[in-house]
Amino acid sequence: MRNFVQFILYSLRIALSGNSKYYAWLASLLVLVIFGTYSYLYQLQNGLIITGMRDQVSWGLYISNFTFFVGVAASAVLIVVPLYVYNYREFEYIVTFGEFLAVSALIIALTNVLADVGRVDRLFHMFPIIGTPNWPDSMLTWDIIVLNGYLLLNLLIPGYKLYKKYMNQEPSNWIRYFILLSIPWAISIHTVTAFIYAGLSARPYWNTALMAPRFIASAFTSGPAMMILVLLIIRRYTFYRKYISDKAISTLTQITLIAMIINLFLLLSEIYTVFYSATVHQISLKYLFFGLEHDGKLYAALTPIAWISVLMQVTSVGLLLPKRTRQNFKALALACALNFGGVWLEKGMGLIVPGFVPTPIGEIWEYMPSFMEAVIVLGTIGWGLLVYTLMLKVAKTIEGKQNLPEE
Amino acid sequence: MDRKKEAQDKDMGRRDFIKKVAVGSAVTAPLMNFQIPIVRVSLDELLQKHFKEMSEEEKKRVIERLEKEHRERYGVDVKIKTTEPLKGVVWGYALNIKRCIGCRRCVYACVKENNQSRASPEDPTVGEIHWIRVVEIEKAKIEPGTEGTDFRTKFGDVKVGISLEEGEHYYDPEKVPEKEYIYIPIQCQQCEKPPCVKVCPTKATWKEPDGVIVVDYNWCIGCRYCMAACPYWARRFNWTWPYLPKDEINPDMHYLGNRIRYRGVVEKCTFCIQRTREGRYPACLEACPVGARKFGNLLDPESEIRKIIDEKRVFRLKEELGTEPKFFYYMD
Amino acid sequence: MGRKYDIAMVIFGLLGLLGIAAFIYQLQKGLIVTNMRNPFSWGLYISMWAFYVGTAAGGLVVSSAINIFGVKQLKPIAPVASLSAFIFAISAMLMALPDIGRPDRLLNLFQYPNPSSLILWDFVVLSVYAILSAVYTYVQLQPRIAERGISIPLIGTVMKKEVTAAQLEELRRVSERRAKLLAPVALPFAILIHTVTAWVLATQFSRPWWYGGLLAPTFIAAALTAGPAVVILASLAIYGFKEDLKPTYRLLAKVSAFSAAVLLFMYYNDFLVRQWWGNGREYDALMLVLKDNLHIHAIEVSFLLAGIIVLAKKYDTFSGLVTGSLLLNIGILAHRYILFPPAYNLIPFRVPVVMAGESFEWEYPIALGEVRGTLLDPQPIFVSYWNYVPSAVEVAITVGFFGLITFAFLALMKALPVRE
Repeated sequence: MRNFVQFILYSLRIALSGNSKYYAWLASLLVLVIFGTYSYLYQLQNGLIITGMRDQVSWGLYISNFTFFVGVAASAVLIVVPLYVYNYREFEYIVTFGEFLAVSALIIALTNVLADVGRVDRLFHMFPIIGTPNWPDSMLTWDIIVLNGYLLLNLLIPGYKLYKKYMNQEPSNWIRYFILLSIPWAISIHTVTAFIYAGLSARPYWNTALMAPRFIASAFTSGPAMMILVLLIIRRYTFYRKYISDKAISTLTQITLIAMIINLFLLLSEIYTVFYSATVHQISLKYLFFGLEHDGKLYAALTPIAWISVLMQVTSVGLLLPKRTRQNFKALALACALNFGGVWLEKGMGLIVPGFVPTPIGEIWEYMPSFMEAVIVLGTIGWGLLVYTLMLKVAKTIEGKQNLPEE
Repeated sequence: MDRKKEAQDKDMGRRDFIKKVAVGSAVTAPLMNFQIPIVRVSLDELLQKHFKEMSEEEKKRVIERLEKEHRERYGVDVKIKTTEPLKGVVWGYALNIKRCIGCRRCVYACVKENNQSRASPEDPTVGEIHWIRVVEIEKAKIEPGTEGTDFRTKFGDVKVGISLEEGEHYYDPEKVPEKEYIYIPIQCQQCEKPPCVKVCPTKATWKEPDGVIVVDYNWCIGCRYCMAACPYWARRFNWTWPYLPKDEINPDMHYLGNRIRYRGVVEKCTFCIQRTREGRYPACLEACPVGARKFGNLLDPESEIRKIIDEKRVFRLKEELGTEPKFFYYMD
Repeated sequence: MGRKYDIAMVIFGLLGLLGIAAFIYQLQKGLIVTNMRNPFSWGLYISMWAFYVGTAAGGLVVSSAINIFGVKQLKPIAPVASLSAFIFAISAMLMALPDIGRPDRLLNLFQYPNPSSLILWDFVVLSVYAILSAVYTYVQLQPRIAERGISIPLIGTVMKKEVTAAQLEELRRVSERRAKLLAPVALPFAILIHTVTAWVLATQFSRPWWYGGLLAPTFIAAALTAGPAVVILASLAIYGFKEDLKPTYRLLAKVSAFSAAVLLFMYYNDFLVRQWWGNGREYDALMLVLKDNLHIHAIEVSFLLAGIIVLAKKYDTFSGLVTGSLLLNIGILAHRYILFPPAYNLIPFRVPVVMAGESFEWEYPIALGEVRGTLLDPQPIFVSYWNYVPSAVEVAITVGFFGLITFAFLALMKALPVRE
C-alpha cells in the first residue's frame, strides 16, 4: 500500500515536471479546459437553451462527439490484439499509447454525455442500488455499463503494468485475463453504442442493422489514424523517437487503410439500397447529401459537410493506397488527418443530426451548433488531451527509466 | 411475479436504509434545505425517491415540499394531487379529421390547463411549449375519391393516404378552415407498446394502469432518448426554466401531470390526468368548437369511443410500427 | 488419384445424368413439379445460385491476395483457386437455368436488357468474373502447359510445345507479369459478384427479411467463408496434405474461420435490431426464423460455430481441415436456404383493419396457382403462408447439377497441369 502511494506521488512529480515546450503545451490545453468549463457552468445555470438544439433536433454536437470518440477508443484493441494474441512484438512499445488513447477518448465521450443531459445532478438515477436503471430494456443503461467497464479495463491494464515496472517486478499472470477480456469488450462498446440508434423504428435513418458494422469499420479506421498522428508527432518532437519503429507505423497504416475501404464500401451499400427502392428510409439520407425542399425553400445545411466528409475519406484512401505516399510521413500524416476529420464529420454531424430531419411528423428544422456548445465540446477534448499527455508522460518516463538507456 | 415483487421490496428496503443514513432526522433539516448553487437543487429534492417507490407518507412530504417550491418560485398557492388511476379503465381518444377546422383552440387550451411554458416577453429564447401539433395537409392527398388536385403522376392524379411529410406545420391563413385542406392534430398517442418507456435509462417514464404514459419530473435525467424513440414527436424538453406569469397558472395540479416542470426534463401529454381521474374530460376536448374530439373508456363496450371504433372508418398513425396507439383518427 | 478418382468420376457422372434427366422432366411438365408456388416464388434453385456465387469467391480472392498484397504462402494453390472460381461462377449461372420459366427465351436478357434490373447486372458481373477467372487460370498455367500440355482423354496430350529452358524461364516471367496485371482488375469483380447478388434481394423494400444495406456485407462474409473452405477441399484433393503446404492451409483456414465469425456477428446484430422494437414487419420476419424455421437456423449456426472451432484449432491436420471446411460449407448452405422462407411467408400486402375494437394487419392471401385436393376434400387455393419443402424433382436437379459441376471440376483438374 505504501509503495502504491509512493508510486502515485512519483507519477505526479513526473507529470508536472518538464521542459518549457511541455509547459506551453499543457498551458494551451488548460486554456481550452478553462473556457470549456466556464461555458459548461454557464450552461448549467441557463439550461440547454444556450445550445443550438431544440425539440425538433434534440440531440446534437454532444451526442455526435460522444459517438465519434467511442469509436476512437478502438485504438487500444487494434494494438492489443496483434501484440497479445498474435505476439506481434513491434507493438510492445506503443501499446500504452493505444490504451491511454482509449482512456482519453472515453473521457471525452463520457464528458460529452455529462454536457448533454438536462439534469446532471440526477445522473445517479441510472445506477443500481442508488437509482433505478432500466435494465435490460434501455440500450443507454447497457452503454453506460460497457463504456465504464472499458474505461476501467484500460486504466487497470497499463496502470498495473507500470506499477510493476516501477517496483521492478514482473507482472503477474492474472492481468492476462483482463487483457483478453478487453478484446470482446472493445467490440461491445461499439456495438452497444450503435444499438442506441439502430433499434429505433421511429427513426428510419438509424433503423438498420448495418449501423453496428459501420460503427466498427469507422472506429477501426479513425482509431489507428489518430494513433499514427500521435506517434508521428511524438517521434518528431520528443526523445522517444527511436523506440517507435517504422514497421509498427506501417502496420497501423495498413489497418487504417483496410478499415477505411470497408467503411466506404458499407457506406456505398447503405446508399445504394436506400436509393434503389426509394422509400421512407431515403428522406434523411437525401437531406444529408442533397438537402430537402419545402415551400420553395431549400434546407441543406449539412450538404457541404456530407460531401466534404466523403471527399476527405476518399482522398485519404487515395493517399494511403500507393506505396510511395504511404511511406512518406508527411503524406501519411495528411492522410490520417483527412481520415480522422472525415470520419469525425461523418459520425458527428452526418450520423446523428439527419436522423432528426425531418421530424417523425414531417417538420423540417435545421440544426447548427451554437458557439457555446462548440466551446464546451472543445473543452471536453481539452480534458481528454490533457489527461492523455499527463498519462503518457508518466508511462513513458517510467518505462524509459527501466528499459531504455538515458539519452 | 411474486419473486420480482419481493426483489423490489428488498431493493426499496435497501434504498430506505441509504436514505435514512443520508437524511437522518429533523436535526439535518436545515442541511436538507440547502440549495446547491447554479443548478438550483436542494439536497432534499436531490435525494428524493422514485415516485412508484415512495410510501404514502413520503409522498405527502414531497408534495408539501413541491407546493412550497411552487410558492417560492412562482408566487402561487397550488394543490398537487396524486390521484390513483380509476379501476377498470383504459383511456382512449378519438378524433374526427373531417370535422377538425384547424383552429388550434385545443393547442392553447392544453397550454393553459397543463401549465406549459409561455413565451417570455423579456427573454426571446424562452418560447411556448405545445403538446399538440396541428398539421395541415391538402385534402386531395388524403381522401380517396374527391375531385381536384392531388398527387400528380404521368397517368393522372392519384389519391393516397396521409403522408405527414407533405404537411405544413406553420400554416397561418386569415381564416380557418381553408377549403382544400384538412387538419390533423397530433399529440401523445399513448401507445400500448410505448418505445419511449422502453428506452428510458432510469424508468422515469412509464405506462399507468389506465394506459396513460407519464413522466416523473423529479426522476428524469434529461437524456432525451425518449424523444429520439418517439415516432409521433410527442415529447417536449424544457431547454430552460419555463416562463409562467403568476395569474396564468392553473393551481389544480397532478404530480404526474400538469405541475410546473423543471428545467432539463422531458414532458408530454397525459390526456389531462388531473382531470380524467376525477371524471372530467381533457381540456383539449372541452375546447374543441366542432366536437371533433371524443374521449372515453376503451374497456367499456358501451362507451362512445368503442362505438366510434366499431362503426366509423378508423385509422391510427404509423400502424406499421406496431406501437398500438390508443389515439384513433376517424372519418364519418 | 487412380482408382478412387475413377470411382468418384463414375458416381458424379451418374448424378449428373440424373440431374439432366430431372431437368428435362421439369422442362416438359413446367415448374409445377417444383414445390414453389405464387406465394413462394423462389426456392432451392436460387438458394443454390446464391451459394455458388459465394463459393466462387475463394478463387480470385486467393489469387489477388498473392499478386496485390504479396501473400506468398498462397502461391502453390493459386491455379486450383482460380479454377474453382471459374467453375463456380459458371455453376451459379447454370443453377439459375432450372429456375427460369422459359429458358428458351434466355436471350431476351441480352436482346432487351433493362439496366435498372439487378438480375441483368448480376449476369454481367458473373460472366465477366467467369471469363476473368478462366483467363487468369490460363495465364498462370501457361508455362506448364507449354512444358507438359493438356491431357484430354481419348485425344491425348495437346498444346505441348518444344521449349528450351531459357524459353520456359521467359514464359514464366511473362506469366507472372500478366498475372500481376490481371489481379487488380479481377479483385473488384470478385467483390462485385457478391454485392450485386446481394442487391438483387436487398433492394426489395417489400421483403423486410432482405431489405437493407447489411445484406451485401453479409454476402461478402459468407463468400469469404465458403470460398476458402472450398479451395481447401479442392487443394487437398489435388495436392494432398503436404508439409510445405501447411502454411497455405493454415492461412486459408484462418480467413475462412474469421469470416464466419464476422458473418455470425453481423447476422446476430441484425437479429438484435429486429428484436428490440418487438413489433412491425422486420420483427415478424425474425419471428418466422425463430419459430417456423428454427431447425434451419439451428443447422446454420451450429455448423458455422463448429466449423469455426474446428478450423481455428485443427488447421494442421488433414481431418481437421476436411471436417472444418465441410462444416462451414454446410452452414453457409443453410444460411443461403434460410434467405427465402422468412422473406416469402411475410405477405407484403397487408391491410390495416380495425374490427370489433381490435386493430390488426390482415395479410392479403395469395392464389397458389394450382387447384388442390379433391372434390370431397378440397384444400384452400388462397393462402397467406406456404410451407415450402423442395420437391423430389427440385432435389434431383440440385443434386444432379452438383454432380455435374464436380464432374467437370475433377475432369479439368486432371486435364490441366495444375501440379508443380
